[in-house]
Amino acid sequence: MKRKDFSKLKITVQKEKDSYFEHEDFIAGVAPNLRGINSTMYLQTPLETKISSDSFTKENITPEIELSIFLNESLRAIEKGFEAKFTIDTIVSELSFETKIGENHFDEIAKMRAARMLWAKLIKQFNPKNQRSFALKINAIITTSFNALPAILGGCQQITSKDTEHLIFIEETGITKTIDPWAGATYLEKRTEEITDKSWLLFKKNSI
Amino acid sequence: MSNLLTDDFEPSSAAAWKQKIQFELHGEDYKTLLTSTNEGITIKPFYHSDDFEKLEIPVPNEDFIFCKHILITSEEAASKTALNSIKQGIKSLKFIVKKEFDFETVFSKLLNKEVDFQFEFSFFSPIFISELAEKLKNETVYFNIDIIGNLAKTGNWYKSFHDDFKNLESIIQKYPTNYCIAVHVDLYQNAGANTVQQVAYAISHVNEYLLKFGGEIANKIQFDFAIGSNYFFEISKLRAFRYLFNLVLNEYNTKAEPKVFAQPSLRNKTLFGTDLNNLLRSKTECSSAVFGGANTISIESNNSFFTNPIELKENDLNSFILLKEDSAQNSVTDSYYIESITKQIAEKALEIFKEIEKGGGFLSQLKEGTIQRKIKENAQKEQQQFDCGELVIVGANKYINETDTLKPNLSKNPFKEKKSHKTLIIPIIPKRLTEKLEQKKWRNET
Repeated sequence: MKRKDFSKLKITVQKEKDSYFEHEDFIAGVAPNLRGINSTMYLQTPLETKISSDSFTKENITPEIELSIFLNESLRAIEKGFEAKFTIDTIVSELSFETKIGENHFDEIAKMRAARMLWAKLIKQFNPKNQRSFALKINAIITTSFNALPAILGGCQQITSKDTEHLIFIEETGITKTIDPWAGATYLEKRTEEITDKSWLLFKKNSI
Repeated sequence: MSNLLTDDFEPSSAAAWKQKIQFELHGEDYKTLLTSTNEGITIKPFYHSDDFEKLEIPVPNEDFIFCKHILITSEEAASKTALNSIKQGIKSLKFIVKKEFDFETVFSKLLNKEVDFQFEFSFFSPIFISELAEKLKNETVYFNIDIIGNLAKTGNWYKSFHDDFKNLESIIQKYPTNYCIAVHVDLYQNAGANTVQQVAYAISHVNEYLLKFGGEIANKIQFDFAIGSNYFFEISKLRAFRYLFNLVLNEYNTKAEPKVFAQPSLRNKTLFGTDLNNLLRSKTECSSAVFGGANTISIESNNSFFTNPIELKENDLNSFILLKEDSAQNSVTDSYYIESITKQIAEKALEIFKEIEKGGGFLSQLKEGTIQRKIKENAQKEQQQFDCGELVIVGANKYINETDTLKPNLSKNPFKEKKSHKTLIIPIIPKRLTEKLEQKKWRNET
């Protein structure tokens, strides 16, 4: 066969997404902090890592139940703080979300994104003065090194682990070079929406 | 979504985000947040729906399967290992064949089990392959014959240009249902080519086969990729390849769903640190392969010098099985970052492909040594980046454990110089980034 002339070959670029979700254009560093709590995330604020020899067991609960419990506990802590005459900004500066990372890759990433948005919604009703109060710090506890991957991809501030294996993700894989790298992906955005909605419903139901 | 959050908060544009970042940088240059890669692609600090762009990627319809490597030394042992693997749920077996073997003994108990058989021969015997094909005629078989890849790897044809093509053609004609041909892109990765180069060379390499055997061969070719450490670039690499392959096939008036075989790169594997480090790297690379839409994935590389070769244990599989339930190859769709990188890799690889074609094609550029030179340039750049600590391998050039010794990992000196023999073209040699450091340490220890 004669060699073909490929010089005119061109790629066809598409500018439209197949899917679009209402929450997609919430960014990082602006409430509700979908994509992270700092506008530059890991590019300027390195991920903290902590070694702990505690044995962690992951309770077998769904992200929705875990988040609704977190919202409930946060609300109770806030109410207690108010009774002691603290301001909302003072109270929430002490609070963070500690979560154990499970095996379900995208659910874990979606859980952290949902947690930040739900937190911002919870806090908003108390009219905080400090914008940082809208930003939820997340401490991800991992029981296997591989789960550092969803923890970082979900945008946690701290990883607590038994060993230092997870340094490989931070140092070698380039995953911290851009913010919230899975954003826009239909599957992840859909799970983020589902987890957010359902967790809030559960929280409302339980707090009545 | 319900109006759960949209009532309370305002969305932001990409421009507003950038402005906020610039404000918070307090005069520091925004450019410090950009990452330039060896591909000539710039990773931006954020990707947003405002700048969305993508290619329509033909993703595979079937889920990926896991493959286990079996080196045939004794036929009985190979058969036993194969049976055990099938019992564990492995759906693909790759036999590493150094010399002709008694296939009756190996395969008599392995037939009709809906398992793919992959072969990697270190020789090319059309008669042996024909007999083997007869024995396995009702099975899914990948012979992975790559006469061009062999030339690139060894510097010589098996016999000659003419004989190699003639022998391959006779097998293709005789066994049209088998996957006879492979394109070994893994060689280019392991020798230090970047992702854009790998995609370009994959397309240029396969185009030589298309030219010879016609577009109808496209559906019977497997592409072997080695997956490196740059997580999202590796996902994008496989997608960009699928896109470009079909773009080229358009010119042959055909379409194909190429079979992609993926395994971890050797480039970043090291004798420094623990076995667990290498396992974690390999698992991460497999995860890239899953999202990139590989059809068959092996966590084992043909890495003979580790005393404890990497093997996938059952609980290692769990996280991948969960990905499977999410239909992993589709979960990438519409990701701002991956779609953008995929497009850029495809764009740049297409340019290189066109240049190679303009220069007479892949074979001609191999003979001239152009491909080898380009790979070497990128490999040297990476080596410099590793040497100065810009490219990190944990345990080797950062977080070094000074008390570690290489010896427990090694049975014999793996660094002996190979004798060079006369070759037709310059061979492409795989090289690991930490080799130089290991040699130095090995000399100090002995």
